[in-house]
Amino acid sequence: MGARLGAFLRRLSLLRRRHELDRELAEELQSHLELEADRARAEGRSADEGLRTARLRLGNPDRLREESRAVFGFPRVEALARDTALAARRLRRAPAFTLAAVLTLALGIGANAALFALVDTVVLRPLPFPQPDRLVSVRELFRGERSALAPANIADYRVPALESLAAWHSVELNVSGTGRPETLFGQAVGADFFAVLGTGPVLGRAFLPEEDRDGGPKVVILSDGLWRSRFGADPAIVGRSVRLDRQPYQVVGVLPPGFVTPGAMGGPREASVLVPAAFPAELLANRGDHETDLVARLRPGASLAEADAQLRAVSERLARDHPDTNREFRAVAIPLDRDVTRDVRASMLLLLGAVGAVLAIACLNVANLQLVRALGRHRELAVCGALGAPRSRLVAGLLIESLLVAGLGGVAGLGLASFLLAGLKTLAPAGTPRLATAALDARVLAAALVATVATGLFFGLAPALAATRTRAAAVLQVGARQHSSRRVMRWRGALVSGQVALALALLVCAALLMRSMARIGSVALGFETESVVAAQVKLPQEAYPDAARRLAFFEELERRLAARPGVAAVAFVNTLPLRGGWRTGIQVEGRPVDPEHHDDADAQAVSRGYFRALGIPLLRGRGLEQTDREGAPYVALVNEEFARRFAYGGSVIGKRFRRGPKAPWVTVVGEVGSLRRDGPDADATSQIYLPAAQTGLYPVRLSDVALRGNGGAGALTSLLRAEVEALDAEQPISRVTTLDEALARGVAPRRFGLALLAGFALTALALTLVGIYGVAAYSVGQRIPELGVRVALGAERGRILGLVVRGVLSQVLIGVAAGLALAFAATRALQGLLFQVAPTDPATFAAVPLLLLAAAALAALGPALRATRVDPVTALRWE
Amino acid sequence: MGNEKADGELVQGTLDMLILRTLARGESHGWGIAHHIRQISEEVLRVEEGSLYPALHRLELAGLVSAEWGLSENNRRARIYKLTARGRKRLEAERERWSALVSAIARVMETA
Repeated sequence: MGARLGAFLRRLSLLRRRHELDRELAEELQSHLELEADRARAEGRSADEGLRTARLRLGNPDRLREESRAVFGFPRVEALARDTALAARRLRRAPAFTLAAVLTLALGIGANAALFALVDTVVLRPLPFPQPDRLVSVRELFRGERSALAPANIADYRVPALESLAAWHSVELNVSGTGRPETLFGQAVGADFFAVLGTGPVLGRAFLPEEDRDGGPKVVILSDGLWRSRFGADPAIVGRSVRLDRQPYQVVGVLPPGFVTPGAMGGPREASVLVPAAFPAELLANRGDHETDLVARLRPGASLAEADAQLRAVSERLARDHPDTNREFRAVAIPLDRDVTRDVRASMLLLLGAVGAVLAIACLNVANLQLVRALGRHRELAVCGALGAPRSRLVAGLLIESLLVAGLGGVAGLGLASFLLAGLKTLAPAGTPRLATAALDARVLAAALVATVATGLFFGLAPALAATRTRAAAVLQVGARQHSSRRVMRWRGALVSGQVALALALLVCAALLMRSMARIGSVALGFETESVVAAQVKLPQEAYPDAARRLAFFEELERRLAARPGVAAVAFVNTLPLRGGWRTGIQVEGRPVDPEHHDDADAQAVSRGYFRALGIPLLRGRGLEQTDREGAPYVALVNEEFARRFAYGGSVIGKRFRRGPKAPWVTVVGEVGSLRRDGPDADATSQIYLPAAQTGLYPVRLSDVALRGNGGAGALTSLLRAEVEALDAEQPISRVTTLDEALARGVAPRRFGLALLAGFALTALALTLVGIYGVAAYSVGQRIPELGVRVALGAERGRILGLVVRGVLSQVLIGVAAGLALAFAATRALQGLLFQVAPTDPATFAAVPLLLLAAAALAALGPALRATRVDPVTALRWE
Repeated sequence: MGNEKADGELVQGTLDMLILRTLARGESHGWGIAHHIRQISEEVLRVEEGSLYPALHRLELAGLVSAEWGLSENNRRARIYKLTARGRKRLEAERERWSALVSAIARVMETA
């Protein structure tokens, strides 16, 4: 080993003295010849004769020099350099091929690099914390479904496999005092939060344990963004007081720039403030109250599986000890990155698969082009082989050419990718985690490099092997062209079949999504979204400590707004549709209580004008009246779905229900239409509407205002803001959208997936049709003598046409069969994005292949028509 | 390349050994080495000069021989090769390997 390394280093040092070495060798040979001549003279022969025999024995001096060079130099590297220069020269001489291949590959590699950059940033890249793979999310599953976690259980979840854990959940805080009041999105976190994540504030300090306690001091940590935008990057901010929810909070720290809390990574907004979770004592006493998330770090040496098993054991113990609250819940440990990206992961990976298929199709096209080129050089290659060039060297030469093309394609592709990525970022649904940081970084470049080399080998290897396999004798014989081209046609047929299969699978996926989208567009929501502005007015507990005061605020706001010109309807509610909601258990009078399965319903506390503002029709009974206030009998409206489920076909009017054994009974006085509260792809659930004025009926806080009118969203928003500030100068409004926007945002991920998949599918189709055209044209070119004979013997044009088209379509059919199988597997992964369309939707699976066949026939038609115009005389003289 | 077999061609790998053995007698130039091998083997072993020089350069690169420009017996400028300590060790190893090989072949030939 040492000797070999020494020899290698000596070679490296000799590399620079190679001319000197050549000269030395020449001298050495010269001296050899002279010695030989001396010898001849000594033996009495002529010096000339001696020289001649010596030269004979030495052989070709060039070869000697080459062999000697091979000893001192790097023969393989030099051969590689020579082959590369040769390949580059060949490509320069075939600009049409080079351009077509490079552009095709640039499209494939560019699309892949751009999408990979997006997917990598959003779901693949490790979280920006030390040892991110040790971070886990502890979740409670309710009957197997994700649920929020009960803070009362947290102490039990401190299992040995977890080193540290901390609660965290979203909060909204109104900041006022300096500048315009606004609602800040933030996170309430446990004291160990920064210990778990392994990072902390750059200015100031993390929270102390005594701050994470009910009634503890009011402290806050600011995000870098908020610190800069609202506090002018004041370096002395730590220790100062800021006004949040009308109360002074002491700033104890500022987060580093770019810090994102795990919650903000999965959610739509960046957290701008952190406050201690400080769970109240009554919450910590109630294991049935689920309202936080839990992040933890694995102890060194402990595995995720151990943590999960220990949590399972704890859950089982809790279920035994507290059956009322814990029987249906089970705690699990999930890798934090998976948990954060759960909503987008599957569809992102599907899109990555789709764009990979586009690249594969691009490769197959270039392989096709390359095969034709290699075929053109068939004889040249055969001659080289006959002259002793080893096949490996010939294959290497062709592969180098392919890699050069791929390299050019890769470079062009990266240029394209930077444009595509910018487009993707604007197209991607708002709230896609970590979207803004997507860039063509080192990871993407590395991936693009791998893709480039892989494509070069992929499309280069088959043609190189095919073109160099033939024995020299067979090729050099006259008429051998037929023999070789038939096998090449088989290769090309297989390439076309592969392309068709991939394109078909993509088209089926895109078609299914398109059908889903059409269904979604035609679904009736049950309420009107047009020209309705929705906003949140989050009244802080400290200023509005009870429901009566909050109700008074909203009733006054409603009265003032209704009096303004341009306002057609006003309503207030706890949460408007498309913005979340409140779900509650209910007991319907006369219906036996099933301990295994409690009835539940979506509930809303609404103002009287709610149904008019959202255009929800009253079907039976009466609407809410001015008189339905605290003190009057408790009443409610229910929806059609509620009536169907609990009135068994009879009238629901007059029925009574309550929210729990201790809650008051409520009488149903009216029935209204059902809503798809969570958007067109959600089902209409049982819904109950409680009068906001009967504050004893509901525990939720009124906060959303809906405003319908003319003058546009901007005018309505400023109207609302003005009236809110007139009532309470410190009160901001937040989450302002029109319901149309909220609706569009809800379907944005699906729309994004559809747009990308449709783009990929169409690109794939175009590339495939180009491939089919190429094969048809080539096969006609090859068969001109044969076709000439047929025409001469009286074959009709229609028959010739059929002959060519049939030949191509048989390959396409094989591809269609394979593509159907592929689509069958692929569409299962699509399920989450489909709506009211089965992944195996028969209409789609029938129509897409037929369309593809028709398109393929059209692509083959041009060359086929050329075949019918073959002139027998020219054809027979062909070649 | 080079698959033409001829009489007297050296068994593969033995040329290096013969060169080392020749140099063990004392330093020499390329011509001298070739001449010596031919003479000692009574013209049976013909060293192709075409492979002699690359072999010498290979040995030099591997540090088994060293080379310097000097003068031949009859005052011609020549490249003189000398065995190094490493080359001497290699020669011993090669010699043992060779005699083991030869006696093994001989045993097979005699018992067959």
